[in-house]
Amino acid sequence: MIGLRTRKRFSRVLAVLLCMALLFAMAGCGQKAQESQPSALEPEAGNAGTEVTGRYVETRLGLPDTDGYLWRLSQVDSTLYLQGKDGFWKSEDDGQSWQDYTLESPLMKEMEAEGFALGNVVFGGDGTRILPMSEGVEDGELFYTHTRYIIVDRDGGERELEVRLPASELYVFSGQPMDGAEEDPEVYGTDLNRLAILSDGSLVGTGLSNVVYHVDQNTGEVLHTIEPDPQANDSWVMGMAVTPTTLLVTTQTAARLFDLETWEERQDTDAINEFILGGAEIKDDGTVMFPSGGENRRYIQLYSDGLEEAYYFVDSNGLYRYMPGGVSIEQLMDSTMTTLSMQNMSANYFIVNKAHNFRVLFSARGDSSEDVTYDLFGYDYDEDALLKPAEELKIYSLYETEALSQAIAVYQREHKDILVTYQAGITPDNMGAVTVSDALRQLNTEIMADKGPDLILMDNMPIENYQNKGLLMDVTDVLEAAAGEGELLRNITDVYNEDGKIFAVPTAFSMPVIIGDRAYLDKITDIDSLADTVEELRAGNKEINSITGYRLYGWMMGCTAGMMGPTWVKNGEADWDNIERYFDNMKRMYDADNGSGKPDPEMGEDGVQHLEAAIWQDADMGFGIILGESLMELRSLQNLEGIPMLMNIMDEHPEITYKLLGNEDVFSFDPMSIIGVSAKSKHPEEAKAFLKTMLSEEIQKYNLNQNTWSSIGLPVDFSVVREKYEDKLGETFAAERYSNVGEDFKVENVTKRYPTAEELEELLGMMKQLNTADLTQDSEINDAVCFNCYTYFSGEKTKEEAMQKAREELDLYLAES
Amino acid sequence: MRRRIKGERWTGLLFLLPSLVGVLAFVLIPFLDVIRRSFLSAVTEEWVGLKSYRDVLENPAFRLACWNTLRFSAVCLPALLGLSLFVGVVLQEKSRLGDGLKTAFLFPMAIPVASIALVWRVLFDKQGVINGILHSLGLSAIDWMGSSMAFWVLVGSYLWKNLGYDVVLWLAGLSGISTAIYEAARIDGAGEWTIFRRITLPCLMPTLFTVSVLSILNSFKVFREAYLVAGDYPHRSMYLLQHIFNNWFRDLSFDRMAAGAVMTAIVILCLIGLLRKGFDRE
Amino acid sequence: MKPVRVLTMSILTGLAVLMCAPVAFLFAGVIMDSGELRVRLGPVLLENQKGFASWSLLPQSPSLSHLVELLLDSPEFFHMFWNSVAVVAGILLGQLLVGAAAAWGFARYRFPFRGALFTLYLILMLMPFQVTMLSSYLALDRMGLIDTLWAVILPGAFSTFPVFIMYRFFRAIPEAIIESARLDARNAFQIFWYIGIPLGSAGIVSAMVLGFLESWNLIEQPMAFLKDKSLWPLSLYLPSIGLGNAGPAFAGALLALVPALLVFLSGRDYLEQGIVASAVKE
Repeated sequence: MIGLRTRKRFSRVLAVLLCMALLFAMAGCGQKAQESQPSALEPEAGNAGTEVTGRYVETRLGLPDTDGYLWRLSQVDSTLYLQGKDGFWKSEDDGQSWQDYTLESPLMKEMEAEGFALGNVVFGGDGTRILPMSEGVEDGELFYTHTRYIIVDRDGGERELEVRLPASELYVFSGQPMDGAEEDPEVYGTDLNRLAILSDGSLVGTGLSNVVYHVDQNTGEVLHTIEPDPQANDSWVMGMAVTPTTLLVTTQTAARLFDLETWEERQDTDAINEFILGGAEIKDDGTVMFPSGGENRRYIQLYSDGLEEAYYFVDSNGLYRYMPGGVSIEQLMDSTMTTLSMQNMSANYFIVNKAHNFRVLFSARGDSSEDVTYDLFGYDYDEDALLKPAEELKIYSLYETEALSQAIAVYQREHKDILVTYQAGITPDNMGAVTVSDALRQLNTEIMADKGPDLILMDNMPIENYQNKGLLMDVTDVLEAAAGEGELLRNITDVYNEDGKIFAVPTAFSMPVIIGDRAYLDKITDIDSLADTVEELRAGNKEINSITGYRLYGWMMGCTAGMMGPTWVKNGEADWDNIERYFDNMKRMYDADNGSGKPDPEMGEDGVQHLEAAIWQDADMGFGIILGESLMELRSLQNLEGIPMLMNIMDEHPEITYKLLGNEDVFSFDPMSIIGVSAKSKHPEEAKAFLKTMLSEEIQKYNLNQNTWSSIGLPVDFSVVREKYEDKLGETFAAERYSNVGEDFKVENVTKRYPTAEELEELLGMMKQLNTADLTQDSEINDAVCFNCYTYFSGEKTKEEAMQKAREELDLYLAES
Repeated sequence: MRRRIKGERWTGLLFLLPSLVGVLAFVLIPFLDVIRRSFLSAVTEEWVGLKSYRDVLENPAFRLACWNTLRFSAVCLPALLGLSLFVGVVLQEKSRLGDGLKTAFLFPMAIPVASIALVWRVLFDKQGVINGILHSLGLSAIDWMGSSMAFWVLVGSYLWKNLGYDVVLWLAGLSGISTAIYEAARIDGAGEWTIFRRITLPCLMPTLFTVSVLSILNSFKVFREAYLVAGDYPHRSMYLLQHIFNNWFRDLSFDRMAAGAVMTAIVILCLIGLLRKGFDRE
Repeated sequence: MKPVRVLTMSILTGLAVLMCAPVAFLFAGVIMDSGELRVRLGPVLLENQKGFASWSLLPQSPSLSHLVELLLDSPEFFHMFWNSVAVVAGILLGQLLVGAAAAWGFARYRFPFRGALFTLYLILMLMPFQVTMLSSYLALDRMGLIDTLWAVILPGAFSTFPVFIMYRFFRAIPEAIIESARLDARNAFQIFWYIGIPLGSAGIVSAMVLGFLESWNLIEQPMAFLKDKSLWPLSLYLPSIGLGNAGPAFAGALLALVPALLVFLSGRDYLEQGIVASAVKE
């Protein structure tokens, strides 16, 4: 028998060895893991020999005065050309100013007389221009386009070219080519898309089928053909460009590089392929998963002037350069402080000039698809520009939000010498580990250490606390300045004031409204009468699904809690009578609403409550009543997208109206995007300027144009509301409405109407009536009352128990102060 | 008697020096800053004298927290000390089972706090495992975390976690008592209980001091689990001093927090003084 | 064995099982698949789910997927693991060097203010973190240590806690041995190194083991002083556990548990040896 001592030693050694083994094993995994860990968010290596100075600087350039679409941006030598629906322009000063440009082409005029129409003009690097002229041809039942190209050389000499592509490339509108047409030499395709001119003058372009053709510029015969890659996921050609020796063809997920001497495909394309893939994943079955959210690039454009051995890319993450055969793609500029990263902007075309500066044409979508605006921005390399501005403006919010990103981009563009950084206390990454209190404590620590933010988005934070402790700066001056420029709702923006000083400014808000029949809407003036009405209506309508439109009351509480919240706490003391009143009335409403006897609707996997028909389309205010799902709708109105539907409903059902939901004379609203400037900020002027930007017309308008899913709140500047509707007051339009009826997805056609001038005034009147900020910023009180109220009216606890708990929690919280 | 060697007094300090410097920098100076802040206003740091102290003493939430903390200590400490001593004495005799048990008792200390919090939640939630068992036995569920039972859950958690810790310390202390004395006592015909009272206990006095202090320290640590499970505002019976300090921090009330801390320190000072007088025989 | 002893041992065994239950709980949780986790933990972790949570030591369909997912698929886990190792190593090293010396100084020497300093150390040890959080942050910030691992290591290394534990053991060393060493004309440091440390090893190891457990589980300090997530230690990896990450969270908890356990097991024997040794040296 092994002695006790030895055994002990043995087990001890064993334990130590196990320890070390585990550590080493983890070391091995750790090392591997660290190596394979995707590199951090740093942009890839910048210019060779990057120093502290030298970066691309964005400037806004000019555009011709035109309302139509802009199709294409091109350059020849140092002249920029812009082609659009309503004309042609050129700029000799790199895009600052534009003059009309007429294409001098007798041949074109001739062909136009014959019925041909001009398409996108292609400019070659040496000054050649190719004018595609197309006409529609009817041949019996067959209706197709026929294109001829006018080639204009540098000196103005012209000739015509007809390209002969296989019959499969015939651009047919209707009808079918006859059988045997493939063999018929008289039937051939004539349209090349994505036309590019090679250095020897020949042409490349794609046909309908995404086959790439190399065409002789004199005979129009096909010299070479590149078939789409049979193994590829999608062969739809997204971009095509040439350098003197190579041809690059990109799809949405891959890139192919061809040598122009041999017309062989090159294999050294790992880097460019990875870049084009952009983080998407191609699954085994061939489907592609694109990264979600901000990481997904929203657009990507390709350009080469054909004279340099380099390809340039522009996407929402930056500007890039690729040298054929290179092992990596060089990022020339990161998009974060520029228009490239703005959510509503899309780069359409760009050119890179001889100085390697970029000119990018952006489009921004407005309200409807006709409403497109364009912008031209230049990105010029400035050797002396600091890589990063020396000063930093820090913005903080408790929860990560997109509400500031547009304002940050706009502000950054106007203020280039200060870098705006944004940080959130609670992000999706750390949401499990960090609670609200933890985040606030961290923030407070940093503030006290003089490392705090300059600006705080105070949503969901205890504003009064920060105000009372002297941490917020008075911003009355900013408000006075902004008020002079727009139609600010001062009752909202000035709500956080003390002794005439304003400490925090809501730059958006939502208001509680109720929609329903005038007859009973008039009777609802506070929560008691609301509950009364709901009960009465239920008594008279036993069958209807719900009265208020809600069955799962967690959501309904959002509305009523906002309305009643201000009554719960007065001067730091809880007003238990009002809280009890709230409990009682919520119970009444809950019972009445659920009094149809129908089973509880289930919460679906997608978190959406499935009633007979989902009435939760925020864009369709009032529709639930029309469908017969409910007799009223209680809403927290954050967005005006639903107004047109409501207007139409009110037209067709004159008894239906809507009004502000208030409690006696207290009309509360939910302040959103509340900005406070830290009293300890080292850049108070810049911080105030940011607040001004949040209140500016551009941002307020942007907020208004968000749809209900990405809503930031109603604007506090009413003038943008007026502007939105000024051209369309009272007009009707057709729209589609989507709904889920059980398993089915229905699309119906409905009519909607824009509000009239009087209706806008009415809306303004409601907004001006709002006089109290609700309690949602102070989540402790909200939680204590609402959560316990829920346990009461859902039947889990008796009223005494629920109120007792509420009492304990609330008293404890209030006692601390 | 120990002969004083010249220069010996300073040798002691020399050993202490590295620690002293570090403690000064990282522990003492922050603490002094806390004392300073107790006389200043929270953010603007203007002199307010004893205002914060008055505020704190009058604050009902603070009083509740004090009461709870005292109650907790008064309940837990004797329970833990007694139980662990008992176990320690029993395990004194060497045996394989004893060894295994010792290790087992120490397990709870190694478990990460977040996991303990999860176990707590799953066990004691209104719909948790224990209520499930009660339900299946036909008994009604108890709202563990939402009623005064929460206090006892806290106590249970503390005992569970620290039992092994204290047992080990007792064992270390017990092993320091020479067996010769026991032999002598047994020869003299003393019974087990008498031996315990007359010999073991007195010799354990210094250990008692150590164990008490450490148990008090650990009683403060129970806040971590409590916070992870019940958040900022647990049931009243569980609301401890650290909860209120935590919340005051969040609310930027650094002045009150500091005043409360200073007062707590004074109380602890007195407590330690008493303990030393009682147990720390040189 | 005496029936009383049988009874007491069984009670203790029962207690021990209770102590170990959560580890078994964790282990079972690791090998449960997501479906079963949902069924069992749903009532507690999800809203609106009726019924009670349940647990079983033997999952219905064991699967190692969560463990595998954690080991192979989560580089952050290992990154944080190594952060923890770095922090713990730094802290223990500091405590060993600095703390042992300080404990020795307190234990074997008399010098002015000895009592006061010792009491000071005690009080500083007992202050809850929240109280000094802001002041520590400001101090560390002035030293430029915020957002580096040193912000967690240094305060921990200079903690007064190990001093306290080791003190007791150093005091227990019989004077006779020290005297004879002095007669051999050994200087103070040699006495410390060649006699104090070996004889006080029980205390040192205890302090190391306890120190390990403490620093392995640090939560408030890293969260307050480390802003950069890539510096976070393992203790912060285990977040509030929701159903989405229950599986990996369990696996993570188990993996975090293992080093602690191993340290125990290794340390336990040293501990015992030390205890035996100091008992024999009479």
